Amino acid sequence: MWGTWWVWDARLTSVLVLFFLYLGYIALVNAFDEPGRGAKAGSVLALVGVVNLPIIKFSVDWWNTLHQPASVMRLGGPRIDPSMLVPLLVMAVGFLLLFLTLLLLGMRTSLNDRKSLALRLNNMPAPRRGAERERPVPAQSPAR
Amino acid sequence: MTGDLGNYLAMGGYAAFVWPAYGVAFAVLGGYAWYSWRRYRASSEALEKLQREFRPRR
Repeated sequence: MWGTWWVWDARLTSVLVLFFLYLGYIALVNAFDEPGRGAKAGSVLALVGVVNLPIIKFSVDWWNTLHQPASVMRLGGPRIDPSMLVPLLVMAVGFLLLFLTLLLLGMRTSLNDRKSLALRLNNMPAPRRGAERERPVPAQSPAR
Repeated sequence: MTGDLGNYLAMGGYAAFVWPAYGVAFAVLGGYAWYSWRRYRASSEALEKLQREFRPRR
């Protein structure tokens, strides 16, 4: 028990920075009218934000504040009692699998939305002015 | 509460923190998973409808 809600501990502060980077990423991606530009700006911010990850990892060793030094991923093996280490690892794997599942589901949703948009744009009615143009042929839908 | 089960559920006096934490985690993660699945189904159905509508003529 640390006996406190919040202190300016190195680990807590570096994770807070990560949280703000994440909020900034969400805001930036949604700030553009054109989704492609938002995605591009967001990926640049993501690349810059990756710098924070090693800082979080090593913050407990570089700055001697409230958080204990590295206890799981350290030379000489974990220093946590198995009664806590085993549930920690099981839960970590569980959250990772949940994250991957939701990530893949979100990507497939995104692809569906893009395909729907492309189909709609390809089949817009021809402009009224000028000669009657042939109806554009929609792109062949990929085999499912 | 008495007995092993009661002792376990009491979580050393921290039950009021431990079990709501599980509840919140399950509600948030389960809700998001359910929402994601619904969004995926809706987008698949919309795409299939468009593909039927704009089937290329042979």
